[in-house]
Amino acid sequence: MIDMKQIKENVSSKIRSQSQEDTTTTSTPPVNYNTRTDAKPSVCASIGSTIHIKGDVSGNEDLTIHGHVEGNVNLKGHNVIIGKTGSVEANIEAKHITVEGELRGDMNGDEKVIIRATGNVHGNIIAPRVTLEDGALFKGSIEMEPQKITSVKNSSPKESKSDRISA
Amino acid sequence: MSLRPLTSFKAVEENVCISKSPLLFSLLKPKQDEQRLEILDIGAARNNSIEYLSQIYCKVFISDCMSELCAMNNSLIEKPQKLNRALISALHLYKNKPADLDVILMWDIINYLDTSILSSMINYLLPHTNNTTQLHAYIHTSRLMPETHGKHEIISDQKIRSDNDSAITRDCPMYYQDALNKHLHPFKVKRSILHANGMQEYLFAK
Repeated sequence: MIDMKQIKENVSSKIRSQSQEDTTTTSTPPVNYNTRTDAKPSVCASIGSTIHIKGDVSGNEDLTIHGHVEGNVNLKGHNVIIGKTGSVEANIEAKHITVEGELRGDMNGDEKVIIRATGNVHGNIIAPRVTLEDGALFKGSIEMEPQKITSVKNSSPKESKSDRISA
Repeated sequence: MSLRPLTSFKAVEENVCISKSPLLFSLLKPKQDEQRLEILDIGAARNNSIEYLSQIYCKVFISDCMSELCAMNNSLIEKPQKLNRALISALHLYKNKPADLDVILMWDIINYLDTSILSSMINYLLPHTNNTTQLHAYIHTSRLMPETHGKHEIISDQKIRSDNDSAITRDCPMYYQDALNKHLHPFKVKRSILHANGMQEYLFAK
């Protein structure tokens, strides 16, 4: 025979324990991104759309720029994304560079440079692989070395189809 | 002497054209001495072209300045400094940092430029060339041509895709060899092929 009262109690106690778990999860202190460690952080740093930086930017983690940066951006071994609202007047050195906004400056990508359809770039690119989406604006020079392309392809066999289409 | 058109042009039906371009692909080969090939593309950056060129050890200068050049007119010739500034702004090549161009891709821009602007542009490019620099271009051979220049890109299988959305046509300057040699001096016609779409493909060398 099914005891409905017992079932109700079981369900309510389960809900209570779940809500306690949730509160303990949310009460975890936030990650301190200012601490420099060798381990790569899982979340990338971001420069907000109202932020205006004059000077060099360097660090040990990925960076997304939605605001304005004037200077040099040096994030060797990491990814840099210039968002749609981002506007950068700087030379950028990074592993992967993706431009969705505006850039006036040179890019040195260790692995790949992508200019999205909304991107507008005036500058020179040195990278083994360069992808320009339809509608992207680019004025400058591109230097590519086929030997480097082969080494990048060999080191990343699990690429998506869209990546393989790129240069 | 009146010049007779070699072919006819149908603007609306032929706004996209995929054609073989043997003279162009004869240029886009790695250098024998394993030196970097330097290419100037006057047209807009296109992903397929960059993908193709990435197979060669090269540096590609992309000017994306066809519209800027077409907007220049003969009045600029009387103001040489203004003309020079306009050419620098369009082509982004500087005398103090000269390029050593092996190939210049002009696409169909020659048909749309004032002759004096064309000659000025060649003079502007000369410090960035060497004795073996070759210039590639398409010349319309029909009496009418699209109102504006097209968009061109290198696609696979040694083919070129040319898009031109212009439904309106205009008179074509119908340049013949002597006129081209004069306007592109010191470059002279080296080889040419007439394509089925009415375009004559040209290679120019010094």
